[in-house]
Amino acid sequence: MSEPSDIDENLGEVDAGEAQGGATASEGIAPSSEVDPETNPDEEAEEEIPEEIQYEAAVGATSTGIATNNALRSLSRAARSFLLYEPRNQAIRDFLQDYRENMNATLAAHGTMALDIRPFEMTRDGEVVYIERDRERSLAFRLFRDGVRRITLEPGVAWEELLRLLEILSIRYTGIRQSEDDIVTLLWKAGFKHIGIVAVEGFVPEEERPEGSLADQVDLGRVKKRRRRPGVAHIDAPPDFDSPFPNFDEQASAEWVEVPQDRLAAIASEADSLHLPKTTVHLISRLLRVVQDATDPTELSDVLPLINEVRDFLLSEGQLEHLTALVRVLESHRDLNEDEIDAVLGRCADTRALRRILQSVGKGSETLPPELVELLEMIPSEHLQHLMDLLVEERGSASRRLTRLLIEHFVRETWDPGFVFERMHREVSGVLVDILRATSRAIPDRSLQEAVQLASHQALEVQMEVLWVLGRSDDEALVESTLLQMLNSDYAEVRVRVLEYLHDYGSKAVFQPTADMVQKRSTRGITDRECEAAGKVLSVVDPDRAKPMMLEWIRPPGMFKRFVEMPGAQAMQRTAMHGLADVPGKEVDKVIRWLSERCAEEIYKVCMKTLVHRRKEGLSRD
Amino acid sequence: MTDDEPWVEDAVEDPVTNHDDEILESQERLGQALDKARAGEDRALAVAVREDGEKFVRVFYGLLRMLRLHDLDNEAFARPISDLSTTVEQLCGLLGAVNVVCVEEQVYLNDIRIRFDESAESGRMMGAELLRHRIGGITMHAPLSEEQIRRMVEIFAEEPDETAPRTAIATALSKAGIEQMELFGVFRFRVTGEAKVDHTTTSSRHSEEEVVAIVDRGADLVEDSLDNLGASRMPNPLPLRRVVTEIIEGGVGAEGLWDEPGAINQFGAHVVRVSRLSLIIGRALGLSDEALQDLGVAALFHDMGYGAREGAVAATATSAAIEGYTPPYERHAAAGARLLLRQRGFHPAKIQRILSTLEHHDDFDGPVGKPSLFARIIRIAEDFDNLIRSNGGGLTSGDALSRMVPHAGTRYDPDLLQLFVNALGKHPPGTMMLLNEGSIAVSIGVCRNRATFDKPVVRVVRDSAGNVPEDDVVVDLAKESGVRLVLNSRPESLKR
Repeated sequence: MSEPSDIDENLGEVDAGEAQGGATASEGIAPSSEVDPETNPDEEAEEEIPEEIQYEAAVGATSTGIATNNALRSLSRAARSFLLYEPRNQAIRDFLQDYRENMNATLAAHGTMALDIRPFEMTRDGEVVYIERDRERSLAFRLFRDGVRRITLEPGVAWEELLRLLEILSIRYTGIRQSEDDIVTLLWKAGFKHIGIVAVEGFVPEEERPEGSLADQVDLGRVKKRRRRPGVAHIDAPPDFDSPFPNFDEQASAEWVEVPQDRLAAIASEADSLHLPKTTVHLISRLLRVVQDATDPTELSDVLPLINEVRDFLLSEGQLEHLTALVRVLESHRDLNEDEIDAVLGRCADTRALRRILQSVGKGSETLPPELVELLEMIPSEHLQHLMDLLVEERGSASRRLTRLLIEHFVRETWDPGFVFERMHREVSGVLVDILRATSRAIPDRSLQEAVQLASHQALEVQMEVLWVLGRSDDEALVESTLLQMLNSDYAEVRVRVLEYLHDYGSKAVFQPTADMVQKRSTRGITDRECEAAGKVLSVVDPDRAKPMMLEWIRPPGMFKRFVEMPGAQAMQRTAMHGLADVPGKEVDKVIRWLSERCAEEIYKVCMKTLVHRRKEGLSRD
Repeated sequence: MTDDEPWVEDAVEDPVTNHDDEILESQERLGQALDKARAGEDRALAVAVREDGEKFVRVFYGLLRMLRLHDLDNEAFARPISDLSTTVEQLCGLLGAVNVVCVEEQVYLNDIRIRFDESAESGRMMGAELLRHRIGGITMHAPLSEEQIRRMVEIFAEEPDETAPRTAIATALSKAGIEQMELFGVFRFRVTGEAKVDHTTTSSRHSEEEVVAIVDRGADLVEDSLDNLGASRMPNPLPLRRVVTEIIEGGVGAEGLWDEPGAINQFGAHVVRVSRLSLIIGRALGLSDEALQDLGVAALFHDMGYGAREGAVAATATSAAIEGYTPPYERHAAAGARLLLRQRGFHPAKIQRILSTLEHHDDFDGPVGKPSLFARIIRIAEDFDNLIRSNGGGLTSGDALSRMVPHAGTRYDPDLLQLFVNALGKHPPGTMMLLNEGSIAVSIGVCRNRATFDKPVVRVVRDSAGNVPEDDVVVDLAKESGVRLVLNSRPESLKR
């Protein structure tokens, strides 16, 4: 008896024709029980489903049938979605949600779902609830050809089980074939409690007493002569196999002794999947010891494929601790073949590997795990390049944070970070910012030089990052000159931040550029925030010049300017009021009051607010 | 924004939908499962089997169809015959024996279902062609030459014999010198639960037949595996896994499981017994069925190192091949691991298998550290069987056990060894004893519980008068009779 298994030609690759083909419902299918679109609540949702997946016919003559059909099509879509989308695509989340909702709703409303599987359709209590004749797409066909003949889902089935069922089907849909498991084995191993499967277990001879070659193999006697197949080279184990035996001279009586359950459980747990990562590293260690043995013909090339598989397994599981242990083992055997070992080690820390590690480590990790640093330091690799590659691909905040921390670490250790900055300048703004942040922490002086070059970068986030770098620097002259340059930024947020810095640290030299900025921007667009910030800067950096200038901004000299509002006047008035808000003197109040009598509503409010502030602060006196 | 975070716009994960954590976690999990499954996939093997398997069927059926229209002498046959010969050679090189089964319009090659282009219908039609001769499957144990292919096609194209069509084909093939092909009858699918033997109600004789069949099949498969591995082919655990499943489903301690199957296949029989003994320990330990299956398979592979050929050198243009030699005892464990390393694709069972093969002679307290669980189990099972087998220690079962007990904690895991002792009982299967009433019996069952530790189920082999009983007499010593004396001889010493 043999168990059937399957090869699917998709083998994980998307069939371009299939994806683009605009699949429609199978030809020739026009069941009289087809659902009336006007009554099908899923029609709208159906239209949103990509054409590649929107292919199965909506069938069902009864409400139970319709609901079951919806649930099965949801299952089919979800399983096929992994063929068409990257596993972490949002579309897959939509399909999962759809599957969960439809399946739960159907089971709750219509009870146990007992499905008979036929080559291209599924039936429930004799009613066709699923049909798809395209072998590539049909859920029924896939189940049937893999040996499943009946599936029963009970109400109360946990999402865990539904997910497991989907997992098995998804693996089959993407065409993955393992030499250890087939679908029947996978279903058996799943150990479903609320999902029943009836499946073929293999094929058996149809004849009671087969003729031909089988006949002479059926021998019920106790001694059987094995028929050797001619034409095949035979290997016989030596007659003294397993010899010599160890010494067994001592004897002792065999008695029953109860073994405590906790000890048994501890031993049995060694077979759990939780122990597998440790076991894999142990195996590699043992094998490399064999390779090291000069008397044994096992070579490193025999073991390398397994080492790669173990490495990939540990990466996929996010097993940082055991991955580090594996690297230690490999490091200790580098003398076997440095190039080969280095190649393996390199793939423990390439971009793909780093992504996996950081995704598993990143969640909830605010600081850099020391074992991660240890791991990377053991591996000779272009870590900084890989880390920067990762920043391009990885947008999860936790992973990015860890990546920045790693860049910071390795930038400190590299003797010439020039290539990092070269790369930084070539990158898109988001990545540039991350790199600049990391390098600023590691080598602030050099980073400042690079940041200054980015002061007029077109991206807002880059300019903001430059400001952050400037804010941490002690080089006052360079900082101030750069800030003044950035006063011309196209972004109001940048200008405001610049003004805030200038307020805190600016010298008198910033007075005129600030005043010029206000005047220039007053007619081109300046925000209230900028006006406020600019006014304060002017008052702080050079109060002697600020007061008369701002008083003029509020009440310009000359009749013409007083009676005809000049372009940009409101902005300058606003700026001046903020600037003069804390300057003592009746004269200021007088001018503000003058303005309040002839200005627009908006400015009037500012005037009043300023006057009130001044009165409270006692600034209205000379 | 913290001081640590650059100023970036907040990334909106799900701007439209609002997926709950369960869905997000499910997606992550499914992605990981697919990644894991891909890691376990031997893509090269899959592609090769799929492509060559499809080609085999397509060309074979094509030849049969052509033969209806043209003579075999026609030049048009030359290319497909050559193709078919090459394909078979490639498949044999990769898989060893190539087993093609047609069942209910499906075609399986070494248990892998072959898909065909929907329009071609090759698979279905080939099945129909074979069915004419009441053939459901063929196995090719070695490549076929072009001339053999030619003859084979000619034979299959003939009209079926009316009385014994398959035998006629087999005879014709043999006469044509095609010895490496084996034919099988028609198959059908077996559905779960169908036709399972109820071991609680059938007679022990019927159980024994089944057990003998399972054990024989297992022993043959072990030998086949040895041949394949020795010929540098890929390890194939699937058929062995099925044998283990049958053993597990039949009850690892089923009665009648302890009779030696025969004298010819000593090595295969030893390996299967080690597997069964390992399963007894595994069951006592409380391993899951999945882990038990992996353990049983690992045990079936544990001595495969004897199939390796050290020092073998392939033939070159100027020199003949050097056959090589069997590794000595000291290296057979490592040799076995080396052979198993050929299997590609990560799988937990493979890891356990290679490790246990490598460590199965290591001591519990050895210098390289505690061996893996499966290795510790197989060590106990193997040493026991080596002590009792007729071409090994030749000891009685009870004697063997008593000689292992002193080494608990040094050679053997003490807890596992105790489980083994508890499971086999005071009088392990195969122990000969003189019963109270004077008959001679052989223990045939494992220990059922503590109360029956020294009261096994036995089969009477000589009645009190010294005669062989006419019927099968099985006595449960927990219910009747008792052991007067344990005999220091082995069952085969008594002539039937």
